Amino acid sequence: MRIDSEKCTGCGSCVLYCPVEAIVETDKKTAKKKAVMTVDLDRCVECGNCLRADVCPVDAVVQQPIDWPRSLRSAFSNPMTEHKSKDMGRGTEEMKTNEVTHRFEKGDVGVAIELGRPLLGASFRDVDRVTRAMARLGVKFEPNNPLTSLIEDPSSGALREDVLGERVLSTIVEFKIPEEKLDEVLPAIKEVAGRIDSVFSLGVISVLPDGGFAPVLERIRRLGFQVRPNGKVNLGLGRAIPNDSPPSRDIQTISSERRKS
Amino acid sequence: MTHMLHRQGKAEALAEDFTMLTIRARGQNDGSLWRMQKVLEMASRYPIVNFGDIKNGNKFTTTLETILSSTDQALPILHMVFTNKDDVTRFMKDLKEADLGISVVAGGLFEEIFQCCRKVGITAHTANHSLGVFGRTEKLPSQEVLDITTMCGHSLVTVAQTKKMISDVKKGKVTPEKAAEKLARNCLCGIFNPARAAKILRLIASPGV
Repeated sequence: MRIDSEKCTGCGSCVLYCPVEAIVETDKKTAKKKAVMTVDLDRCVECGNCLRADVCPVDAVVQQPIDWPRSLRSAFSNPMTEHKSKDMGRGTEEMKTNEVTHRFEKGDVGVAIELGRPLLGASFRDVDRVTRAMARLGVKFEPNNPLTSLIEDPSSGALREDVLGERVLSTIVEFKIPEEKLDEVLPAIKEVAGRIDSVFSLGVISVLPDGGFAPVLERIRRLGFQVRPNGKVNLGLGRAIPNDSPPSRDIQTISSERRKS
Repeated sequence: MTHMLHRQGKAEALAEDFTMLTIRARGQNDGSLWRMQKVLEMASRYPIVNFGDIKNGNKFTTTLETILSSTDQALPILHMVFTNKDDVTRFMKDLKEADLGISVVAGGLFEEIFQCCRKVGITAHTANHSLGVFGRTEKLPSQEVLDITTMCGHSLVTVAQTKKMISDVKKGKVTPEKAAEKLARNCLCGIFNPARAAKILRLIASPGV
């Protein structure tokens, strides 16, 4: 993103909408002695929030053309941007459709290390530190996660050299392991947390054998980790429905009736 | 994507914060957009405080009808936000009876969600647990700001705007409800809970009340 310095009136309205505080004052002043704003392109993650907010009175916020590898910033930070795979978003369906896909079976644990979240954003140099630390333990990164395509060498976890200078609002290191491997993985996650310049949020996925709390939680707590009381639950209501199509009195008819009433 | 996970706050506040989403499984029920829309339509019979999808927007930037009448087969996920456990329980009962065959995920306090499930005979399938935040946590803002901003999993509700809203509410320039709505507009997929945000803003502005 950039701000047209010839148009900017220095009102500062856009500043409120930048999640990474990349919109800053310049030394240049407007006729009314206000500081003209600019976008710190190193900090900016191309999330598009300032543009979407539509608060600039003179349309000075503009989206510049973005080439590779900067385009990764938008792909991982702007939810409106489609990844090359056409999967919107930064991760996968993970557990959201697990009752249909069986991506995770009993005894599996899904691990999601979401770098940059909350709020701070992260550089791919930090991501590289995490993927390398996990690769040393022999984990297999989730192939459908867009981040995995940036890992040049899955055995070492090394990211492509040309992406390391980029920053994103968040990105998820995602993999599946047998439950007992948490004994190695969780301490390694804690260790690498001390070597990054940002934060990450950590999540674990497991199948619920009897619809109640997951047995894996005991192991997690034993390893010295706290489990938050809130999270998300797949209700198990989905199934495969090949060649599905709406019934004759479909949702659009219902919607139309709602509008009339 | 884990945008529903990692919401922060005390248990009593999270007890009024239930998020729901519905999603198709790629390659398994791709043609089931109408089933997702049906889930949202059923949720809208309850006093949901937000809804939306990433393409059309949320309660404050689009209309329910726009989403319900969409024929865009690429709509990825539909979201809805409840504030009341009884409504969630009744909605889950509706879902079970409708047997739509589409995936639904509920976010909130596990204990509360499991209770809702048990009441209506739903056997929860898979859980996603948050183990918290690691790394340079000293760079993060205050807990009250995090309680608000983490309700947008894409981090599009900013610290700067949240602090501005706190300041404006304290000065009486805007009501907590209006301030919460302003914040909610940025959360593209409609998973931000404006009712909870308004409550937090009111508490910050009048801590003794």
